[in-house]
Amino acid sequence: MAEPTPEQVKELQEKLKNMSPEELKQFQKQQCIFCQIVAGKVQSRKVYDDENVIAILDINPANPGHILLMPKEHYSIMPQMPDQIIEHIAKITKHLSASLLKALKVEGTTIFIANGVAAGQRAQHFMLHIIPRKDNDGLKIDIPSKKASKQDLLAVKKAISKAINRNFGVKSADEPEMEKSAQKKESDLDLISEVLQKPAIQDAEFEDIELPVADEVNAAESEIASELKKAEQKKPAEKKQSDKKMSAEKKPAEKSPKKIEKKPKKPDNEGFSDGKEVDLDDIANLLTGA
Amino acid sequence: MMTDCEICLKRSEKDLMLFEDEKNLVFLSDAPAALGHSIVSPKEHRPILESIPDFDIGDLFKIANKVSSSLFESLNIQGTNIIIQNGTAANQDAPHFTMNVIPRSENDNLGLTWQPRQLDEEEMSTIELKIKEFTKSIGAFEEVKKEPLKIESKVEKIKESTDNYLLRQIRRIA
Repeated sequence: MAEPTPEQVKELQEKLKNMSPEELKQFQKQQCIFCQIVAGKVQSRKVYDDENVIAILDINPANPGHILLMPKEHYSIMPQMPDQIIEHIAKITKHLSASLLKALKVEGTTIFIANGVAAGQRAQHFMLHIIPRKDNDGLKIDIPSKKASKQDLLAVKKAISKAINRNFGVKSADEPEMEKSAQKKESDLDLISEVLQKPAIQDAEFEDIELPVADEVNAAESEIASELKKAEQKKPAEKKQSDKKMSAEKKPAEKSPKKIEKKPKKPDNEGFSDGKEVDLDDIANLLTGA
Repeated sequence: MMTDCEICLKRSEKDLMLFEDEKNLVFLSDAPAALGHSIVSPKEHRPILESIPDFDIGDLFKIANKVSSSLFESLNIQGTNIIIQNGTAANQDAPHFTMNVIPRSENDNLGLTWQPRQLDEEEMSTIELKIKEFTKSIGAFEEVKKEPLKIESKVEKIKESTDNYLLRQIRRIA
């Protein structure tokens, strides 16, 4: 394919900018070969399909019988997919893997998902690979294992834990502290989907899980607030002195209900201005250009 | 729980545990492909994907996805892989089902890729037909077995007096 000229790129960018979400979706569908396969406009060897998913044989398999399982709806990466589709894909994966074991008399399967070009994703349509495996088949998909010190492991655990707790709706002891980084980091994922030119999908379950926490947080928050008020009324003289400390305590308390009301709030642009923007843009460009 | 299974034993190792619920575990791999490499596993000893009930497999995938999102949000990475090594032929090393969630950065040289092959049309057709033979029956999924309704015995016990008949008779007369 010939490289587009800078003018053409500019024109296309302008066109994309002016599209409504529906038009964008339509455009994306036309551009995506796998959406064309789903629509039956491009031929494929279909081995399974139902209302939500389709499974085809990879035309360039790692091993004979290599299956690509994908949602019929266009999603670029797994974090965008609604939970019920993930759940359905999980069940179908199990049964397709079982089918491969029986049909091809293989001894195992490798299930492979890549999110992002850095992970080896080649198409802009989310898919899951099911690769039949035999002993000594020469495929090098082994997961390398490296030595890691306990110190490094504990450090990375600490780095991940906040996001884990947030995504699983676990209330952690140092919750107030996580507010800021939580909002900023969330914007990164939003950004991934945004740059992939897909209307952001809000994960209903995240909110569902958060709900029981909300009451507790609200209760705790009003308690803290009333206590702070009391303290303020009682000791106006001391107020100035402890101003700094107070505002530090107050902030998270005031913020938390906001976060729970509507989590995937549009991130403010400030969060984007760090170095990450470039990397994520690259993900998108490489994917959409694939 | 199997006492000689290294994954089963992870249940009691809390220092690298990231999350657990009633049925599943997430912990950091202590021999990671990259720092942040996490492992999702059912608590119950299930050897391979095919031995996990349909009603439990969805949660494992959803958990793996949330772990992947968490890695995206907290580490400076550009991608994640979710990999299941199902069977020893696929390099599965412990006899207990696991899902690997691996953080990826550009040029991290982890490999995890394969050489694409080209098969002739006839071979592809044969494989397609063979597989379809088994996939055509996919559709009925195992549901969580409902607890059988316990019918409580409603037979009321007739209150028995502690006194015996003779004593009561005597009392009545007296």
